Amino acid sequence: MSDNKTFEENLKELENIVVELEKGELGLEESISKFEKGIAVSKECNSKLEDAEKRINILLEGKEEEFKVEE
Amino acid sequence: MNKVYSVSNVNKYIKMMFDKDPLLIDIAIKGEITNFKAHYTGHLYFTLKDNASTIKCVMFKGYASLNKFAPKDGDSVIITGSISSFERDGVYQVYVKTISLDGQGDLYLKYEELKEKLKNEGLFNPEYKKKIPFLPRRVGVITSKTGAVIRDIINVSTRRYNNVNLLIYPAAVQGVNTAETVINGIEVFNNMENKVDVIIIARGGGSFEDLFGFNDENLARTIFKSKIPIVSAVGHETDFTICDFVSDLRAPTPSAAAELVYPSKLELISNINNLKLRLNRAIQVTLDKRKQSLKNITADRLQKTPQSIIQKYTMIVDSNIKTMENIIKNRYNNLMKEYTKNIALLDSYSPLKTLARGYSVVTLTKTNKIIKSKEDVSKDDVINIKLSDGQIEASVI
Repeated sequence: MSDNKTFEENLKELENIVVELEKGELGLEESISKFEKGIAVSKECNSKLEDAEKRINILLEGKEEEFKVEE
Repeated sequence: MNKVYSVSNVNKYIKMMFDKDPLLIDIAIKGEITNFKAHYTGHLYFTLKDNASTIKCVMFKGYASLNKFAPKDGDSVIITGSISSFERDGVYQVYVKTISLDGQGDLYLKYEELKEKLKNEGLFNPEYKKKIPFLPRRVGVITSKTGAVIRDIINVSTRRYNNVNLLIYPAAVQGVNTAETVINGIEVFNNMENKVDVIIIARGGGSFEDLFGFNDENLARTIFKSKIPIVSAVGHETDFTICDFVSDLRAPTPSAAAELVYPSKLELISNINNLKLRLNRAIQVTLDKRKQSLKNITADRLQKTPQSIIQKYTMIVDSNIKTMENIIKNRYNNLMKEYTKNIALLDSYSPLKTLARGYSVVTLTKTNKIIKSKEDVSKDDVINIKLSDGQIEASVI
């Protein structure tokens, strides 16, 4: 749905939806569809936070290798 | 025998000679500090030496307090001041006004010149600063692959955001290769397929000379041209380099760079949860409001309007029933009238009255046919004679 959006854009959208809903000026149908959208976007945000895998690599002669801290 | 002078007179004369020599009144001398002593009064005493000789120096408190660094034994320095003699001891010495590290003067001048030039070209202008992405997918780090800096960056960033994605470009961060390797790193990151969203250039603290590699014009121009935003974390809080000025963001330390680049995941999650809570509350409020207004409508209209509708239709039904009743009554009356009239007519046509006047009806018994002519009967036929009060069976003779 919002695959191409960055985390920040999603968060911003969520904030906008919340503010709009809090104003309470929307019709019922629109409120509910906004609410559903908000829930979907918040899930998107959460999964963006969790999805990424920890990776620390080093570029050596143009190749990526796993980086180990030298003590 | 020549004239004999007192020691004081001689020393006074010598001092006078020093003081009227234009070269000695204002002189700069290069050498290495030895026998350095900082007196408790604030005056500094030391000896300046080179390979072959030494010269005594004194720097009074008023001048010493303006020093940009703390001189010590072994420092190669350039001093400025005047040379005079100290009458009491009969020694000559340098009365030092300024002291600076040898070599730095040149470097500092170069630094200031380059900074001024790039500034005038607009390379430091805020409108060219690229925005640092809020939550980078991948971060490029240009720094030494050994030492505390890379460890600090890894520790701080993973503490704030456990699933970091760092790509380290090992670079020389001291010496003549500094600018070249850092430039390479920036170019490699800019030309990579799996791009990084932001680049951190990091180096720990050091002397002005140690950091001088980051005051390079080509490096500055490469940073300026980079399509990927760059955070500069070179040296400590008090150290500034050209690299800091031209970068999109300056971090006071490498650890701070990690903090600037990676947001705290805990804060983000609590922010999202807070927004979800508000979302739920807002929809609840909307639904409650709708429910309430639905209730109001039910009380106000849905309950009153149908009542009046029912009443209205009841009246229509009632009046229809009345109309139908009237129609039925009318038809009944009309039918009743017609019926009475017909009964009276029927009565007047009835043959019973004719019989009462003495007529009779004769029928042939076997055929039950009315006998209208003498031809209708033969001898011995049984006939039936109907009279007004009864009938007689007879036979024809």
